[in-house]
Amino acid sequence: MKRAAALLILPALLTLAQPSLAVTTSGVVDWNTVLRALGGALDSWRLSPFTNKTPTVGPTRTRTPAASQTPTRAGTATKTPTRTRTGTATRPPTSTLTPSRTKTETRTTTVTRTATMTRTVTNTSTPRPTSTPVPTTANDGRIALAIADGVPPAQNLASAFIVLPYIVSSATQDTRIELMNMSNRDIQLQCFYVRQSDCIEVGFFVRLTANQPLSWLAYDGASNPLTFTAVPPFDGVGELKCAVAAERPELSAHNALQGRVLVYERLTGETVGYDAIGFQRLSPGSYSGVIDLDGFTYEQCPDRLHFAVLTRQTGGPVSELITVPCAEDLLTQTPTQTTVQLAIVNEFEQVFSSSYRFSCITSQPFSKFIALSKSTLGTDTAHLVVRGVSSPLIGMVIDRFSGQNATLHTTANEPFLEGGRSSTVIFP
Amino acid sequence: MQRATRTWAAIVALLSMSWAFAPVAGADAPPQRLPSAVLIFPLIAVEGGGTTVDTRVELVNLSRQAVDVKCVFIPALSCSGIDFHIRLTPNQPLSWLASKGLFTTSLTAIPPFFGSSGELKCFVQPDDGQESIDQHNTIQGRAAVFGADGQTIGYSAVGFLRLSDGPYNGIIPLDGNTYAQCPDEQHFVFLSSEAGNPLTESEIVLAPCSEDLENSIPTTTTVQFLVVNEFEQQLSAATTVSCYTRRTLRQISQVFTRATLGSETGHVIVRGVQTPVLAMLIDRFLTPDGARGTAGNGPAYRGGRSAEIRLP
Repeated sequence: MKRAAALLILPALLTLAQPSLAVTTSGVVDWNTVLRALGGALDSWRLSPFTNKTPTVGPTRTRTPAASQTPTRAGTATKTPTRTRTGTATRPPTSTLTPSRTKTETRTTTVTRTATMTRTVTNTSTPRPTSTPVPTTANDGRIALAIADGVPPAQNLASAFIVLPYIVSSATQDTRIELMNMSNRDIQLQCFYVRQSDCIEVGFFVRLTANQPLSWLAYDGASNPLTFTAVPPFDGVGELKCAVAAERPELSAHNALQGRVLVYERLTGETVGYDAIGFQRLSPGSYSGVIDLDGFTYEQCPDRLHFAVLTRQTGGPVSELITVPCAEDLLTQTPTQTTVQLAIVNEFEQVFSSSYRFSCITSQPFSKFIALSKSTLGTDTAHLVVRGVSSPLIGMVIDRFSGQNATLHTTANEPFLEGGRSSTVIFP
Repeated sequence: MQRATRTWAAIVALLSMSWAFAPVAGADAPPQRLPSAVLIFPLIAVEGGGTTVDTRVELVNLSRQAVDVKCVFIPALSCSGIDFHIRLTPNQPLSWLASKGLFTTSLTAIPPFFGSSGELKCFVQPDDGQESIDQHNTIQGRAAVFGADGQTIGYSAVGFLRLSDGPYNGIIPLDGNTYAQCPDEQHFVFLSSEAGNPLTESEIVLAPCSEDLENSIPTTTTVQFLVVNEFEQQLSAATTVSCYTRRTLRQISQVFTRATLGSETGHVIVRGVQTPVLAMLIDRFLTPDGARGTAGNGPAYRGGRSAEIRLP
C-alpha cells in the first residue's frame, strides 16, 4: 500500500520540483500540468505489477479480457462502479487492458475516437450503448429527408459481421439459411438467433473451411461433428446475427463472410429471398464479442433506409416492413427499443409521414399505415424512408402484389442505404 | 507431334485457368445499395405481351434535386439498344410495367419493351455546370419479374458510383477513377439441381460489363466458373457469352447438379476472362411439400476490373 502511494505521488512531486514544467514564467502554479502529472502517475500505477493490491481491482480483474471489457460496452451500473465510466477517464482503462488498442496510434489520434467518446457519454444516459437521442427533424422540418451524415456500409462485399433480419420457422413456413466463406482460410463464426416473441437469443458456433458454402433449414438445424458445427433448430420469427470470430488480427481474416436467406411457405412456395446486410471490419484487431459499428472498428449502421415500394391497393395483398435495431445487448438481454419515423413520398413529390415504436424486432403490415395506401398517395409506387430515432435500424420490405390473373406474388425488397450512425452489438 | 501439341494445349489451358482466377490486387468492387450514377438491371423479361411474364421496373431519386436519367434497354435477341429519357423530381419514385411502358405529361416517355429477356442500363445526366459527384450519385432501382405461374424474381439493380466530377458524355469508363469498376469476381451460393427435375434448375444471367452500343459491336467473352462444394472440393466449368445470355446452370455444366456436386449447396465464383461480366442467379427449388419456389439471387463481389460502356 505504501509503495503504491509512493508511486502515485512521486511523479507529481517531481513535476512540482521542476518550475519549468509546473510553474509558469509569472510564478503561477500550472495546475493543468500538475493534474496531468497525477494522471500519469495514476496510469503508471495501473500498469504497475502490484495491481492485485489496489483497491479498485474488483472481481472483474480476475475475469478474462473479454469480460473485462464489459464496463465500457454494457454501461450498466451493475457491472462496474460508475466512477470508471465518467468522462474520458473511461477510455484509457479499456485501452490498457487490451494491448492491441493502446498500441495503435490511430486509436488515440483520429477524430473518430473523439466521436466514440461522445457515444460513450451517451451510453451513460441510457442503458443502450448506441442510444443517441439525435433530433430527427431536418432544417426544413421534414422528418428523415435531411442529408444524412456518416458513411453507410458498403454492400455485397466479404464482411466481418452480417445480419439476416427475417427468419421464419414454423409448421407452415421454413427458412434456408446460406453462408459462404469467401476466403481461402478456415473461419469460425459466432451466431445468435433472436426470437421476436420474447427477444430471447440462442447462440452457436459455425466453422467454415476455405471457400466452403453451408446451408441448413431453420426448422431442422444442422450438425457436423467433423467441423464442430452444431446449429440448433430455430423457433418462430426472428433475426440472425453472425460475426467472424477471427483468430488473427488482419482484416482479411475478418472480412470473409457473406450470406443469404430463402424464406418460403411450404404449401404455396411463396418465397422471400434476400442477401444479408454485411458490415466490414475496418481496423485490424482481435475479435472480442463486442462489435463496435462505429465507422472505425466496423462499418457504421445505415442512418436511413430507402425503399421503392408498391402502395397497398384496396382489397389487394399486404406488404410488410421488417425492422430490427442495429444495437443489441445480448449480454444483459436488454431489448433495444426505439421509435421509427417514416417519410413517404409519392410520385408527385408529396410527402407524408408516420411512425411506430417497437422492441427487439417487428413486422409491420402496410395496412397499419394509411399513408402507404394508393387511395391516400394516389400513385402505384412510393418512396419510403425509414429511420430509427434512438437506435439505427436494419430492415427490409416484403413486397406482395397481384400479377397476371390476380396471382399473388411475393418478393424481398432490400433497402438502399444512406448515411451512417454508430451502434454496438454485444455478444455474451 | 500430336503429343507435343496436346501438352502445349494443356499448358495453355492451365495458364488461362490460373489467370482467370488470379487475385486482383488493389482493385475495388462496387459498393452496393448506395445512391449511384449508373444502374444496370441484368434481367428484364416480357413474354406474351406481359400476359405470361412481365417486369415491374422501379427507379427512385434519392436526392433532393431533380435528375435527368438516360436509359437503354438492350434485348438479348438483337443486342441493339432502345434508349429513352426519364426526369425524376426530388425524392420521386417511379415504376412501370415493361410490357406497357410509361407516358407522362412531363419529360418522361418510356417505350414498351419487347423480346423475351434483356438488360436495362440507366445513366444520370446532370445539368451543365452541376457536374459534381453529388449530382451524379442520386438514383437507385430494383425490378420484379413475375409470371402467370406465380414465379417472382425480385432484385436490386447493380449500382456504379461516380468517383470524380465531370460531365456525362455518353462514354462511361468503369475504371475506378471516373466511375466504380466492374466486379472482378462474383460469388454466389446456389442450390444444386436435381437430375430430371426442371423445377429445381436454377438459372444464370450473364452480360459483359463492356458494351459498345455506339458501333453496335457485341462484346464476347469467356466466363469461367469455379465451383466449391460443402466438402471444399473444387470443380470448374466455362462458357462463352456474347452480349447477353440466360441459361440453366445444368446447361452450362453438370457440376451444378447434386449428383456431381455431392452437396445441396455450392459456392460458385464467376469471372469473365476477356472482360468482366455482370451475373445474377435465379434460384429455383421445391419446398419439402413439393411447392415451387423462385427468388432472385444477387452476388457478393470481390475485386474490380475496368470496362467501358459507349452509348450513341
